[in-house]
Amino acid sequence: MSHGSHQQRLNESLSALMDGEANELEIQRLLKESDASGASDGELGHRWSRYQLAASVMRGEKVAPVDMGLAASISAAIADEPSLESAQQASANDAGNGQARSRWWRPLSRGAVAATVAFAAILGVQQMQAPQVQGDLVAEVEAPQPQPVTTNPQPGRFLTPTLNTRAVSTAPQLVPEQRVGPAPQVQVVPTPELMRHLNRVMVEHSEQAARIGSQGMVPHARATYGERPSE
Amino acid sequence: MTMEKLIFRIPRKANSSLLAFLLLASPLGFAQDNAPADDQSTPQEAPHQVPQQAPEEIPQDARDATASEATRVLLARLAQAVANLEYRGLVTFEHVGSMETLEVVHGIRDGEQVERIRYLTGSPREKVTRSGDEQCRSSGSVFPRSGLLSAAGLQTVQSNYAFLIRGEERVADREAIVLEARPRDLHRFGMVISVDKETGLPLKSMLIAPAGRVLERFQFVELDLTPVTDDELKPQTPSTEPSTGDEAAKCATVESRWRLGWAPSGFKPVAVQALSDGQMLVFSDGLSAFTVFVQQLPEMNYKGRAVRGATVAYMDHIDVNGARYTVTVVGEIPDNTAQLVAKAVTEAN
Repeated sequence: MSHGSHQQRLNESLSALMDGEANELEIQRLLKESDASGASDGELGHRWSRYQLAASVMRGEKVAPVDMGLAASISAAIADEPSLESAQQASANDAGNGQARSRWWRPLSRGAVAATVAFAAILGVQQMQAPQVQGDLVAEVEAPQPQPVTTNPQPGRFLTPTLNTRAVSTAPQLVPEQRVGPAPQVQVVPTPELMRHLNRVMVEHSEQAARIGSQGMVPHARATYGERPSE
Repeated sequence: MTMEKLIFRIPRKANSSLLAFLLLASPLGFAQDNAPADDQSTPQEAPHQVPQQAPEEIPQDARDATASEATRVLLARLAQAVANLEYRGLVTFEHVGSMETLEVVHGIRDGEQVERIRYLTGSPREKVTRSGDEQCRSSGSVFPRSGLLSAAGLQTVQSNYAFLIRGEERVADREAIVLEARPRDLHRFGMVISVDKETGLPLKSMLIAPAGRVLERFQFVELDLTPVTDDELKPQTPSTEPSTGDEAAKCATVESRWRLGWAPSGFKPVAVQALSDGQMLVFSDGLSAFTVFVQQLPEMNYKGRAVRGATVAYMDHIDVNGARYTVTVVGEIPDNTAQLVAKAVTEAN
């Protein structure tokens, strides 16, 4: 049996296992090989990890790359433990059947441990991300009914056509002092002079605030916000 | 079914069983940690680990002192970074339900800060600002370029706000420390600033009204800290004029004709400037600011509020010697405070 064809058959068995179609003979072959070369650092082990990774990516899952070194040290730790093999050694000597069974067991338990670790790694990733998803700091502690700023601009929120909205939104909104009765928003027709004045003082103020300097770019952003678009 | 399918399917279904799984898995993790140590364990290493757990027992006072020291260091780094770093980036800027994206460039030229801001959404707006910092300093102006840079400035800020470190988060692919400035009274807004761990630059800042309402959020999406070229500081929109203009005039110290009968505690006058039709007075508590405009504006009888984003303007007028002056108080301060300030403007004697 040439080395090339042996390797090829192993690879075929491996993909069969990935697809859940491996028969018992193929599984036996893989286990035997992994036992011989060491599943974590052998060619077979690497190929297995690559297949797993590829499959995960194809399914669009988040992938936490499994550290081969970690896997290696774990299997080393397991190898140090008194194994089922040694417990069964006496009987295994008698029957070749028994040894086959022990070979069955060992890699399986390794596989189970490796799976658990991979699990923990994936979980770790999710746990790290979770606080960020929830994390509106202010909302969390002080706000019974927070009104967070909407992250995506929604044209639907405005009643007027988009073009108008843009023009209006950068202009200051008037809330006059003389409020009558229950209607708080008295419609005042702003004169162009008034709007010009308000825009001017807001821009001037933001430029001054920028000089105080503790807020970085924010006052500049405010000042630029009200800039007249170039005609 | 293969093992990997099991591994990847379970997390979506049952979170609690996952947790149990993690708990089961963690002893394994420890075992793995210890395994190599056992192999080559030297007797000296074991006692080493014990004293490391001692910090738990530091008294409360000391811990508070450490915390405030930590915020002081963070604030000082922030002030440094804001004034001295060159960077460019993309930013989202949100307020009251609308969001815009903008491009920001910050450079240092001849000891001055040069900023270019260009809106990428909405109507095209762009601005290049050159702060005449050096000029102002040499002309003896009282402008504190960054109030946080001096120890006194820091102390002022801390008497107006309580600073808390709220944790960490990642912004623009960078690790940041989340700092909250909680106002000590109702005359100013709070802020939550995510400070870049590496540079001290504010990567995200939110302005917070009472009850935790977010008024405004400014947040980097992408940040590049390589030196800025001259071209990047030039306006992209042809009609944009650099607003350097009358820097010298702006820095000139003017005797104020007006004063405030009342100002919210902690707000100190930081500048007075002459306008073509009046004067403007700038006040700051070290973090936020408001500006009082007193101008002779014919035909301007509006009395009330105007709001744009987080900025409020309150307009009123006063009559002095038969002449009517329009008073406008503008700032990122609560409406009521702006109104109180506007009513407190009187002529200085």
